[in-house]
Amino acid sequence: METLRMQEQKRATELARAIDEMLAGGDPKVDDTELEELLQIARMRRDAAREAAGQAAVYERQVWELLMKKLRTEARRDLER
Amino acid sequence: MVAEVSVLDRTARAPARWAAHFGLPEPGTDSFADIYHHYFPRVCAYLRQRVRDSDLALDLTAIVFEKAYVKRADLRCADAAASWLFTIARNELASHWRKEIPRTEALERSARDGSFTSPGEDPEESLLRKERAAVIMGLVRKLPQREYEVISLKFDAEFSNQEIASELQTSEVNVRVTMFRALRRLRGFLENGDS
Repeated sequence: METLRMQEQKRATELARAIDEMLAGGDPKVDDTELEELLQIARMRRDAAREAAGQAAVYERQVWELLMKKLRTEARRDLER
Repeated sequence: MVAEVSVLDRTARAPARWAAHFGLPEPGTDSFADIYHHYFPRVCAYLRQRVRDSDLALDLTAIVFEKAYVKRADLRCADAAASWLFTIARNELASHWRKEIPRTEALERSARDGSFTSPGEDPEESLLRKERAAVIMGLVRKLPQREYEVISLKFDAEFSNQEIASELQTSEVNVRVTMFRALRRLRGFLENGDS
């Protein structure tokens, strides 16, 4: 039982290393079919997250202006107190 | 206070000059505006993934940065900015679910609401990209809560394993194993043709 857990931790560590390398812009290789499949899924998830972040960036200015407006309103409200 | 209003008026037009006025550690490099610019897409994407509603995600993102602005003195160094911001985001999410907009309503809204739309993008390419993203994002939502949270912090927030461990008050080993199991589970969903 302990051996199985240790094996899982070892594989999890190897996968985590590869994922960190991928997120840092590298093209990691793993010498294991299952880990390669899991890394491929991690790539898909990274791409989906970056796609969402790219789309969200379009709204950066809009939200900034909303935030500024809100902060100005609150500052004025504080002044009136 | 008069000066504060005037500062805010000026900074609305020139946000990069904020730091000089609001006392963050290294003005010009670690300013609130720089932090906002750097983290806005990730915070917004993280919240979008969690609430599954673009308008709501934008509203929550605005609230997160408003709270971050109010608490800006708590940020001692720029290296901690990601963890600091996502802690605020997670707390805001928890608060949102407590107040709830009933969850069913949020889900109904999300069903009508595909994703953020990018003005000027080729509609066909946009559709393909959204489909690919939707498949994997949809499967991620089927994960157990803990695995879902680890995957979201890893890929949406791009936290290090150490940052995730700290955020979830667990060990790095546990984070790595949880991520491994989550990806295995996702592979199973894909093999079974779940969507």
